[in-house]
Amino acid sequence: MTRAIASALLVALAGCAPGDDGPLTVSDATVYLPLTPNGMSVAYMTLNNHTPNSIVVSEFHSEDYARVELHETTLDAGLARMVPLSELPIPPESSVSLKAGGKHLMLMRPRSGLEAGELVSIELRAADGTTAEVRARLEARVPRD
Amino acid sequence: MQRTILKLAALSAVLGALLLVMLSQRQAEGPLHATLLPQPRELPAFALVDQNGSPFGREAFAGRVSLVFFGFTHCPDICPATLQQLAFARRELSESLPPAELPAIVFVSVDPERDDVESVAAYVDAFGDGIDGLTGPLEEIDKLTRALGIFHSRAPQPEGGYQVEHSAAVIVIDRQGRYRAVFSAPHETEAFARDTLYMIENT
Repeated sequence: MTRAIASALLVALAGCAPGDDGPLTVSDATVYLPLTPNGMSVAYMTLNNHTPNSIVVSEFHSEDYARVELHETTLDAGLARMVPLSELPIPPESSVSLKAGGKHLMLMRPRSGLEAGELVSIELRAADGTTAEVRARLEARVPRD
Repeated sequence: MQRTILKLAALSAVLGALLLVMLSQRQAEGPLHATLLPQPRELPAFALVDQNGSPFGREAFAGRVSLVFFGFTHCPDICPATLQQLAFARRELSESLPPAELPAIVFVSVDPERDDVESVAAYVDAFGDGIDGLTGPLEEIDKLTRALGIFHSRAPQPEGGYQVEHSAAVIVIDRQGRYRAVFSAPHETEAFARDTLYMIENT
């Protein structure tokens, strides 16, 4: 029980070095500023499963956004489609990347006043209770000269 | 003295020949990623507005090469990713081209119901200089999408609201305001920069 609670409380920070404790870690996180006031934005990252079992991430939550959803962009004969996904399976001892033009986290209704450089966090929770936290500084799409 | 002049003349001839060979090879290579139309196509007349609320019609394309992308401001992934690549390509080209020669980047909303002038203005501002954002009545937008082979359609979402499915191509309009070439997705910043430079120098 204690182990289960400890496992559930383990937090993986974006940018942590390999070998950090925790069954699920997050690396290479990029979170972009919303492009319009109260507009949509996106988070990309790599999720690393360090266990011999599959981890299925199915809940996404953030104090900085009213809603976080997992989506996938597909290109079919030049046509871009975006479909919501209910879960993200990460095979044993493997990594899955969320990246532009593929799977990504859609960040909706940000808290007001977010600025480039500000730290935001997103909590990921798997069906077995494993959690990870993404913490990243907001990036502008095109930094000013 | 005469021998020196002869040597210089011979050297100049060799260098000139080399330059001609390099130029002809460069022209022969053509764009590596974009597809050039066999014949440029004239655009139909259309009436949209830019992010300042100023009229924007086909005549606004004249005078410089334009890279045109159709999308919507509620799109978090492929639309901003493509505009970001275009902005980085333009920035790369600014190291070798004078400002007047740089391509214009033009974002055209295919979701005018949600994308008013104000939201389009905020959206394109995030991509730096040299980008225009267009919106207007759907029937005016569709004069352009039909001419350029761009598809778009609403896709209702399970939680309510809708996304817009749309062609992810980037269209190249030449200095004469004609449809000249198309970049098909997936896109690369380097391909945008390299092929746009080719079209600026050769069309």
